[in-house]
Amino acid sequence: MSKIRERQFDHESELTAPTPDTEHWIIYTQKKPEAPFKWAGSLNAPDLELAMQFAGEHYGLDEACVAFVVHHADQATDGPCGIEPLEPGNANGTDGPSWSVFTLPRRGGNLQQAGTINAADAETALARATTTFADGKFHQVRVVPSDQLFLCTGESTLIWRLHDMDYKFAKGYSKGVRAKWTRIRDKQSYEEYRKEDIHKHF
Amino acid sequence: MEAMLTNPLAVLILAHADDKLLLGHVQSDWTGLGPLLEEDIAASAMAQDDLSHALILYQFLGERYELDSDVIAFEREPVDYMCCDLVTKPDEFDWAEAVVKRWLIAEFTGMGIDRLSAIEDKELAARCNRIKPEQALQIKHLQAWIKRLGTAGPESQERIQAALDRLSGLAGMLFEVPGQRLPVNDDFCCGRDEMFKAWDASIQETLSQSNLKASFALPERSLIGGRRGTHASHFHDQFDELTEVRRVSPGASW
Amino acid sequence: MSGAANPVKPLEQTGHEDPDKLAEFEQHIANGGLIEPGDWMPDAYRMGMLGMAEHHANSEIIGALPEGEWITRAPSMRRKLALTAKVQDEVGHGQMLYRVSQELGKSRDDMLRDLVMGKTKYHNCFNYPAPTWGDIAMIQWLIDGAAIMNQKTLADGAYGPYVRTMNRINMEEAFHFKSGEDMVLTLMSGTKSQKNMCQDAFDRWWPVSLMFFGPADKPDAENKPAMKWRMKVEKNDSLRQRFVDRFAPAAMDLGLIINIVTKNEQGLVTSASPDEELVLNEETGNWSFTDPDWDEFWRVIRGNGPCNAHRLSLRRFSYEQGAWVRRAIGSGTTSLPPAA
Repeated sequence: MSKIRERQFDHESELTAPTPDTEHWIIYTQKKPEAPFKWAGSLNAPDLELAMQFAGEHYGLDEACVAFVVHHADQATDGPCGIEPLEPGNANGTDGPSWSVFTLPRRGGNLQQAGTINAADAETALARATTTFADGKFHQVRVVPSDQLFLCTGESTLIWRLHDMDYKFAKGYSKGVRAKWTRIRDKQSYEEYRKEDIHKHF
Repeated sequence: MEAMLTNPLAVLILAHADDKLLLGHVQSDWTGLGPLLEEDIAASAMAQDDLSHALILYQFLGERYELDSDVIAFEREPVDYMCCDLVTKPDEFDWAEAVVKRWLIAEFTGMGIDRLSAIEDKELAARCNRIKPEQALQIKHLQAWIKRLGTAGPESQERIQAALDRLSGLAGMLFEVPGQRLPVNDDFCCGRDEMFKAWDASIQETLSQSNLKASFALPERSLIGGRRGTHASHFHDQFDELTEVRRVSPGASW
Repeated sequence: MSGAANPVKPLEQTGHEDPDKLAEFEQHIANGGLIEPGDWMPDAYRMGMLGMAEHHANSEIIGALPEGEWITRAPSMRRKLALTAKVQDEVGHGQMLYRVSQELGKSRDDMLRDLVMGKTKYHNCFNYPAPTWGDIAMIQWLIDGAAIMNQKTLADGAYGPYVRTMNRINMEEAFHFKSGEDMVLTLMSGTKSQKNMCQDAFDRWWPVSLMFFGPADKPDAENKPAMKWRMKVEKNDSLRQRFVDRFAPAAMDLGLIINIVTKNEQGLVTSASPDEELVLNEETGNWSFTDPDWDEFWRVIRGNGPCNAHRLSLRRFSYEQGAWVRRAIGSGTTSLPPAA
């Protein structure tokens, strides 16, 4: 065993002083060019620079990713989340700065980018976004000032790696596992057993 | 194996590959124990980059010398590993030491990979071109961390400076001429002086922006260390761990 | 790695909630609806979800420790990369689940402090040792296999933020499980010492896997808040049965013997004999099996398992060792002197 991990520590009775949480950031990733940005997760970082680095090294490498956007959690304004899909309202107008709009396709689903609208404040932005984008298919709207949404593309900073990353995905093992199993088991019992796999991920 | 270990180009590649293997080995051990969860994840991604770069280079040599890349990685005699002593130096889970060490090595490797890709060998250049952008990302992140920690107040600055003081003496041995089976005056390792100057300049530039100081010296060509198979005791400790499971059943598939 | 073994504490409806709102909330869930953070929810639900997500997050970062011990010893480049990525995923899951918990009102720092001081729990299975490479194969095959079964049901729960996170996590669990399966298959197709290593590890982890899902639920569990509010959707015994039905025949086909074992204080096997209860009921398609030692389960959960002290001690070391970095990057605290 690695030596530090084996060590018996002699801890003081008092735990070291608290280290308060840093800022809360939200990340949306894009799987391929032209695809919408979809919610990937959130993280803590003290500032934008580290938030961008942490976002890339975690959410940018979990699954295919060509770009991601990050915003501070406080920059998001969420409308109410309807049990039923939202109906378009009648708030119109084009004055004011740009807001990026995200919509929630279903409760428990992931917010995804819908487009942008202009509005003088968040409340107006939510109303106009609902008018513009509500198509009877989503339950909630989020607006974020467009200038507070920070983009990283794989062209400006490497996100997805160039080396073979098969080792960290199920598909990198599926073929070999199947070959090894079918030397031992008949096809039917192997398929029965495989039913409990999470199919779409293998 | 013999043919590879006596070929000057293969030896130069092995020096970088072994640095990457042992650095990735030491750094991946941090996974799950980092100072904050987000950086734990990011540092582990870099350790995986290091291990992957080692693999890319072992695979290149494996194809050229008809050897299995895992055999090259795990089954040489210790004397034929060409990593420098800096990579295997235990950091005792001191984050300052880990960051400084990774940074000093990353800047060196970046230049080394550039040098390898300039050699007239299309296949080698193609492999190096896969490594380069990832290496550049690593250097960028590490420089940013050095600047951040060097300027984040006295506690942090003192820790980073202390780590630099402990490591700067060993850092020159990054430039040791590799390969104990080759003559030490072999000029294949060309441009050693120039590379050291460029590396030192790059390091000093970051230090000057980070409220930190260190000086480095290029050791005499004749000075022998890890790259020529005379490893520090910590290499042997790491090597024992690296090969522990494989030794349970030599030659088996894992 | 691990959706927790029944971490949902008994919840008491406090009675101070608005009965109309509560009825509406329960009807929405009974209709299969999901809860989003802006919705009205009973305090007991919020506290219950926080406890569940926090326990799960704790389990992820403690779960990174036993496997982390083997990164430096992994026997090939690919296995070394895979194990590093796997342990990294656990840390990532911990990070995501702490965020779910943070949004329910508790700071991450408080959660980490409560964890290392033993005020909150994590999954019991990480209090067992992993003395060989075979244990790494078994953890990824059996424990991650059990975790997938459990977490698939958690993804059918009612709390939107937890469901979203669980769906992302399950995507990565698929890799963990396949990689573990590949390791087990490789060892069992290998040399005699590899097979022995695998059987010995299986003896250590089979009973832990059976305990993974937690003890049997109370008979009226469906009517208690945890299930009524879809914080959990399947009973522990039912998940355990599905696990045995899937893994017992697979293990036997691999050439593994399913043993009843006794263990010493270090969690190492001192005696093993085949489980005579292990029989397939052709009618139901279910395998019967010998129950694991529930006395041991309670002993370990109370803190007296083979590795409880060591896991917490190493986690505390990491928390304290990294404090200066968090102080350095934290805003406005860097000029303070180090804590005395």
